[in-house]
Amino acid sequence: MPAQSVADLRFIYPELVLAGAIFAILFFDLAGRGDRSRGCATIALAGLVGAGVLAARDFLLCRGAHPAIEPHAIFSGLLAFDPFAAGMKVFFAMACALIVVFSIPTEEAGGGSAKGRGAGEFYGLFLCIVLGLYLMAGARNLLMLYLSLELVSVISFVMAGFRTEDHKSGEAALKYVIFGGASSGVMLYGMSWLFGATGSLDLGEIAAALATTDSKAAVFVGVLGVLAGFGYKISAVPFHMWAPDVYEGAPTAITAFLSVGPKAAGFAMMLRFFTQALGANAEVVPLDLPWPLVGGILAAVTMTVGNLTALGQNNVKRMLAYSSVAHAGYILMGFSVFDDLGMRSMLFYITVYCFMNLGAFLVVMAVAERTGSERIEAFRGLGRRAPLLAAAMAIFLFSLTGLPPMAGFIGKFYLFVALLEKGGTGYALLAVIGALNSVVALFYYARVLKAMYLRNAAEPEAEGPVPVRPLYGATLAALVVPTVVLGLYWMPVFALVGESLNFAR
Amino acid sequence: MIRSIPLVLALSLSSALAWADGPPRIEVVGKAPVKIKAGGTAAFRLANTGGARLEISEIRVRTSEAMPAPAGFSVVQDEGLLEPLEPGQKRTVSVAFRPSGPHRAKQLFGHVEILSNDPAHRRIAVGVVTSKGSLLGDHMLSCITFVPLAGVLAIFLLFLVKRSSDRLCQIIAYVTTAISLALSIWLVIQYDPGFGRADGNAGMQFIEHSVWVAGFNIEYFLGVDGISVTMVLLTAIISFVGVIVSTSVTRQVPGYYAMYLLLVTGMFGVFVSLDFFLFYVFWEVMLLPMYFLIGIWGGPRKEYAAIKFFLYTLAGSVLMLLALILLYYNSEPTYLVDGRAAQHTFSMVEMMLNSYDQLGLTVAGVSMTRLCWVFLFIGFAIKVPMFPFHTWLPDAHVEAPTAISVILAGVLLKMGTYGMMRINFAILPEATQWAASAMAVFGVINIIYGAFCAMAQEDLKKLVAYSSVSHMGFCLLGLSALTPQGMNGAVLQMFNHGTITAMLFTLVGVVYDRAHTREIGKFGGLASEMPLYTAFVGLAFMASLGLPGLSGFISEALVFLGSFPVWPVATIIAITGVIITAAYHLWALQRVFLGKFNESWRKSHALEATGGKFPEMNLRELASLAPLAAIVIVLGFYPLPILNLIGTGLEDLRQMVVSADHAAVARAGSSALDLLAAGPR
Amino acid sequence: MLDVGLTHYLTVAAILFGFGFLTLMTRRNAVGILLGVELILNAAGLNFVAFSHYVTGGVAGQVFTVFIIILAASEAAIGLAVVLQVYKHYRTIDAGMVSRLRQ
Repeated sequence: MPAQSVADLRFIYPELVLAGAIFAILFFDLAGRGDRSRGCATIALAGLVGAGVLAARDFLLCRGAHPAIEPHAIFSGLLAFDPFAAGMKVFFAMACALIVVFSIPTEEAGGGSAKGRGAGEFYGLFLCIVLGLYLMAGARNLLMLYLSLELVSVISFVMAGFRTEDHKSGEAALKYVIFGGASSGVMLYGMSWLFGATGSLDLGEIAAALATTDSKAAVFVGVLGVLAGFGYKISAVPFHMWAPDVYEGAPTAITAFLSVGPKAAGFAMMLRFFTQALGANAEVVPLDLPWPLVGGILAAVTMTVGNLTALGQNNVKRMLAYSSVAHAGYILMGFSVFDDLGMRSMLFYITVYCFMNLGAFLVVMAVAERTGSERIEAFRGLGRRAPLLAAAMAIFLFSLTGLPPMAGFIGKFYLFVALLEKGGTGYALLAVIGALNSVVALFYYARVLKAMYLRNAAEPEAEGPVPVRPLYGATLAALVVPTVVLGLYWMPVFALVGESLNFAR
Repeated sequence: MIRSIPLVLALSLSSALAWADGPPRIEVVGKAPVKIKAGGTAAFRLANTGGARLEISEIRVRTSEAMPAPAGFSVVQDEGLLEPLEPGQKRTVSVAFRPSGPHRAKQLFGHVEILSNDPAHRRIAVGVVTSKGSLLGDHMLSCITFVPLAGVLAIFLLFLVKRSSDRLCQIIAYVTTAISLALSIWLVIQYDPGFGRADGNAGMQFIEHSVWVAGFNIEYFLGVDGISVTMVLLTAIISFVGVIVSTSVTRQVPGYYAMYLLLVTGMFGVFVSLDFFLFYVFWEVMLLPMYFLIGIWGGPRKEYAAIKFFLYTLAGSVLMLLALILLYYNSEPTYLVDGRAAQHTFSMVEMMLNSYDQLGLTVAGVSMTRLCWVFLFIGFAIKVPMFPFHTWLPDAHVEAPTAISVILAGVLLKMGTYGMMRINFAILPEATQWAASAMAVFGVINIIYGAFCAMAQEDLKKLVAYSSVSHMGFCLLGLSALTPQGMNGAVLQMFNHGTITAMLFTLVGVVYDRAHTREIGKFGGLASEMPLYTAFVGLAFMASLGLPGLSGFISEALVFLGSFPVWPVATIIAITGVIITAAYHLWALQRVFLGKFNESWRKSHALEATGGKFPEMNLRELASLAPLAAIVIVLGFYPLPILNLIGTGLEDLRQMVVSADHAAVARAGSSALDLLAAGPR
Repeated sequence: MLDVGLTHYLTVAAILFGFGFLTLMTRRNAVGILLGVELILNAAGLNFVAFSHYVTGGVAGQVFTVFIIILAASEAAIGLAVVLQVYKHYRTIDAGMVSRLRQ
């Protein structure tokens, strides 16, 4: 056993690199002199880039029909070494590297103080979360699922409350702790019932046991509990209550991260859990449990609640929080179709959503940096005061609505295609609900557009240019390009996503 | 019977043994589609890359009654063409193109189908294309569509280097729209009006066809037929006139022209695309610039008008998207342009060949074709605009700047009816026949309701907006009749209304630029102040109400001629609508231009610059109006050019709807005189 | 004497879960809410131990429970640190009063 675990070390190079980077940051923070924030950020970026490259190498090694290394379980079935995990790891590396770049100038990451105070903790903790995300992507054992989820959650509590002098940050952290703790408790309770009904913690063995068991109620209770935990991570209704307060109160770089990283990881875990353990995409679903119905109802409710509540928001961060709840609903639409196209469309949407959502939050950060406010009023007249920034925001908002020729349209298109190809009244109804929700979403995205471009004689003019720091400008350009390009030429990414749908048995 | 069993077993066993090394596999070597010169041949090679002998049963040009191959394509019957191919063997197949006369279309596309015993690819196709155009001629439609986009990029680059002066951006806009206009006129001249479905290419000309996203069977497919080419011409004319009218825009000018040119690209793209996905992309691309154009450069309530326009149109578009996906997934397998097999297709031309109705699918108990038809119809009806989805139009028109109103009324409204024809009528003909009566009713409601609303308006621009609603009702009525006269009248009305209403909005803009108000009650006796202006307004109003001798009359008359045999009651009500139309036009004319001049204008603030007098139209305004007026007058006496242009394409379309039987392809006499002389259906 | 079997453990765990959930929902004191979370976590742990002993044999469940204890401790530590931070700003740990974020 120990020998096997040691031998398996060569399959977790990305995680090892991340761990090394964490230690490097801690030591550098202790031993370094002067402004340590730049150094810590560089080490964090290097760690992420290294982890991403190694994960890409893993993806190339185990993908395709005749891979160099067959996808298999490592560490006695705790983690999986397969294209799905590797693909998600590359995605996380990319998204989190962008977050690190966002947070370089911010106060909480040491940008403000002379000695870069707080940078070591910030980046160290952030890389711990990324390590947790990596483990979430590969987890195929209930214990590992729980541990990695908790790693991400608990440290997210800390990061949400990172701004100790800001009361909003503290409040956000408190709400997050309460809700997160409760959800993981419920998830754990559900897992215990699942363990009892199937006798194993391993997803593959659970699947085998489910095929023969007949304690339907226990399994149903168990899965509902686990679903509560997943639902909290992806901010699905009714487990989304934490999202608006946490998104608004946390530092914006962390909010941007929360809207993309843990959400994508939650979806990845859901996919693995439902297809591996429950065999939800099999021809005959074990125990005849109505997962598509549950998924569909969840999707419809999440979309609608998210969009309708966003209509009344005046704080752009809060509005984007509700909008990301709605987007979780769209992704759940793909989830409710348990076939290959459904899962592909989910993952593709998560990828394009990452770009456009991070872009929108970055614009909020840039505006807040100069005007000190995150409300819609701060965006007034941005079309003239910072034309390129406003144009980038317009592109991101149009992409979030789902208008061609942006990537967001292609993502939504594939989701609708997955629904309508499956056929049936329920799915058609869900598609119509999804379509109408897109129209509702336009309404609140357009409020930002209106503030930026459409001058209203009644409202007071905001004057003064809004200069954008070059770092933000470059990152914005790096985010706008995929948003537009993927709207015109998306097949390579879609093909990669399809290849990654290969789970280790 | 029983005795044959051992024989069958033996045969299957032997053939199984024969395939012991793997089944035969047919592959095409070389680039596709294969290019042929007129009068010459081209070749492609077939290879057997499998393990067993490949037997070829047929190699022929793909043709069917519903979509005949272009005349002149043929497979050269070499010796041993259909001999079996051993594993690893290759064979060259030659395709010849020998047109009987000078072939009219610039490009002709086709496929060569090969039937074999390859179990996985029983029937494959190789694309063939012949082209006689130059590089420009081959890509005329792309040039027309994307030259304005190049203008947008130019403005953006100039903005980045901070050289984007107002004057320069205006010049860029002039140049790009003028280029598109020149190319469109060239297109119309080169267009062959007699080319129909029977001549191949499904009756489309100036085709550009290549694969865009192979994994999803989306192609970059552009082409025009009679209806489209008329609309392209209209768009080009109106865009150019719009730039002339745009001088009233004074702030944030580079952004204005950038959005304007983006809008022009979207409009052209909608009219020329023949791939449904591409059509949808161009359709949506129009929304963004319109929102900004109305919302930034508009009147007092511009945000409200802009968001209302955006929401209405987006709601229609998402319904269109759902219908599009449903139609895609139920389309029959066909080939992409280079011969790749496609399980489903987005190509409108191929979709027209599928009979969706015979699939008999239902969604939630409702027939799928009817549901799709209704979804698509709602999406297009919002654009037309059809009662009760028309409420965005008065607000959008009133608040938009003059040039944008011109484009909105001149071109954007036509996209609704164009979409109905190209998609609803052509792809879902049975559902069209089912819904024709409802369309007629809505058309009549549009006419009457629009006319009454116009009569009640005090704002001159709003009056013209409601008159647009009314006139589009004529199009709907004509289309729903499904007779040659009716449909020709409807398309002609689309073109005429485009020019007439562009004139009307430009004229309203003229007086608004001077007086800064559009209230009818405030004016009076303007004829004495601005006689030339009054003459133009008189002309435009008379054309709008359908005075014989001006273009409006011909189209309305054709619509009535066409719809009376089918919907007599509706036509009679519509004709009474003409009386109301005349009433409000003349009444407005009288209140604004005739009578005593309102002396309070002499001391008004708005006319201070000109000393209390209304200045006559200047050269620029005249330049924007003169071409439109000329078209209106000429087409009033001689509508033949446009009717000829529309003729064949529309008749092919009509036949598809009326017979609902895609195998029947007929070409009625395409001369407009024939149509006018011919009786009902 | 009662024959203590699996169902008894499960019932106790379910009762603990119920109490924990009720505490979570009804209490306003932040520390009290964290107590509720602890109760839920312990209920799950009890479940795991019971199933591990009576149903599966082996030690998988017990190992899981040890992990739960560790994680509950770390979560409690973080939770209390956050409560301290909130107290610094709001001077109260009543969760209902800590709501300046909602507009």
